[in-house]
Amino acid sequence: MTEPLLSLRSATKVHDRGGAPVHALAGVDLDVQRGDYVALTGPSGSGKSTLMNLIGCLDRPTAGHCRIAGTDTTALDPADLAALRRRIGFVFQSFHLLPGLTAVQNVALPLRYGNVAPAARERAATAMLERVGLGARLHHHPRELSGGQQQRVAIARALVTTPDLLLADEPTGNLDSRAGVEIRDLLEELWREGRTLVVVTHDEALAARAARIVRLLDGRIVRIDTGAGAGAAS
Amino acid sequence: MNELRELLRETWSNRRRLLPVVIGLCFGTLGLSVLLAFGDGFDTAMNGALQRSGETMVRWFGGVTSRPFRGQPAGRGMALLPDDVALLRQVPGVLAASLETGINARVVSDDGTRSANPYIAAVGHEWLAIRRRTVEPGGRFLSPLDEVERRRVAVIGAELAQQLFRREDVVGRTLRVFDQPFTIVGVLGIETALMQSNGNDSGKLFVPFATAAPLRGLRNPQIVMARIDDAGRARERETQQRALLAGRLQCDPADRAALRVSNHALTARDIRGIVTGTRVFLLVIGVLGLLVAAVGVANMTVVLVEERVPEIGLRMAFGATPAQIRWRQLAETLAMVGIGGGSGLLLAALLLWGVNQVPLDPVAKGYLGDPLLSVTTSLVIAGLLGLCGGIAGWHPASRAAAVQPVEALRHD
Repeated sequence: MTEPLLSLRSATKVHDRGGAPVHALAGVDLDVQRGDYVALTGPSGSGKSTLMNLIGCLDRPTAGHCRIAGTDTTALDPADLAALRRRIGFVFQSFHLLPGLTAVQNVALPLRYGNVAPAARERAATAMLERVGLGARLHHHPRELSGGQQQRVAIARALVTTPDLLLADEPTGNLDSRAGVEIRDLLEELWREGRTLVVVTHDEALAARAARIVRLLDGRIVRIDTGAGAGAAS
Repeated sequence: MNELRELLRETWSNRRRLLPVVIGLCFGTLGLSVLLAFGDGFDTAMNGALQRSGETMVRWFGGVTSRPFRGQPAGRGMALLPDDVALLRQVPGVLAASLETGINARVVSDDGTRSANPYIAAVGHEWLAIRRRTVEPGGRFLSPLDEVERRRVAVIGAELAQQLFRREDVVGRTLRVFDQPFTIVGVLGIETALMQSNGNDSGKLFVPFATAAPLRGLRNPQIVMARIDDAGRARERETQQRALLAGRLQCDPADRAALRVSNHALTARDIRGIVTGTRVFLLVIGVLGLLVAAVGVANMTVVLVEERVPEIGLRMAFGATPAQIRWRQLAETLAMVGIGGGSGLLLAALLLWGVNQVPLDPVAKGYLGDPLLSVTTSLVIAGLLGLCGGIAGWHPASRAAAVQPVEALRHD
């Protein structure tokens, strides 16, 4: 059996709230294989975002282990963690586009840290924007784009480095229903192209499209359901 | 190049907020540059003026004894003699010696149309070498032969030449001095010089002492003077000369009233001290202005970093290392300092160029100098700006590098 792309073992995250420990994650075990589509769901405070931060190397577990592509993130220094983050694409609920940059400049941003030449960055960013249907909006600033278009730019930015893993945190959370459907469709398309997706969401319609739906409560995985994508994947 | 373009673009996108800081830096640099340039110009001008004042000159005046000496009473008048010049030449370290006396007398141009009442200095031929002055091209100063042969020759100050001859080809023309015709052999140029006596030298007429003395019954010089070899040994040279002159005059060498002295090397040292003090003062004022601007830069950078925490977190999420974040932030600060400081330097260069176009009286210009922004001064200012930028930017840049991406992305 091949090694999972992502492997969490007894992953625990404890926050200190004024001297009182709060267990955001309490010993989570999870494997994500390459080409998997996993939705993390649960009520607010269940630990979804904390789990995503650990997976994305934005945070470290208090205890337990997190391995990404065979590398244990708990022992890495900040520079190595930064290098590992270049293999992960992030999509955020509030898009996090830089307002002073155009769509193509925003998409090209992650390539700067991968030592990609400027001309190659622009080519790759343009191609990725065309892939998400924004070829006509290359030089628009975020304020000139709709919410759905901004999230497409954010997805293009997450994909431009050809990451091993795409992490999306409530990607439809700030969108109207029509834009939400578009993004759901786009994510599914990307998964069908062979990308590995982990999506944190309250959106049951989005979660239902995943191959697996991991349900969290009080920092623990309480259930793993099979989504509609499971059939499609098989 | 692209990194620089992006840096400048991001600086430009913050232009409204950065503008006051950049203007502060610009004016801080402008102030420092102008002050240093004026200081440099003043220093150069004063050095020249001191040099043209006979910087290594020791002048002796006959006085009255204030104390008895070897059986002779106090109150004796000490008369310097022309032979004292030869005596001074015997003193170690004396490079040239002369005498000087003078009176105001009427002089008339050769065509009789113009006259003046200048100070007529009767001097020795080494006077010029001692005072370190220059004769305009086409002429000469008094020569040893002029003295030996008691020639009726004169060197005219440029201002006096203008007054008497409208300043045209005066060399070779004659003028009447002491009712005698004197041929002009040279023109002493208009130069700024400190420590001149009996008015500005450019308004005087210089004749050989040997010629003037019998015409006007000038037996004794008012002053004997020597140029010494080393300003650093001015006190020692003065003591040696005093001992010799006091011996000839039979007065106590310690009696300063008997032999009065004006040691230009010591005076020049004091003046240089004042000039240096003034320059240091200007530098301190300028640097303080720049420091105020640097504090503004530091404050603005801290604010920008605080505002950019989510952006920094985002960049880290995309793989930026803490070192990349630190250097980028520092580069932004340096770009801000570079833009403000560079424009300040440019403005200063333009302003100083404009100042140098203003026609000024040559004598005033001689004291003020030419305030120009030298390469050295520009490099010093650039270094100071870099230092200010580094100091102002390092702390905020380190704060930026210490941002935790998970906290930063939660920030907004």
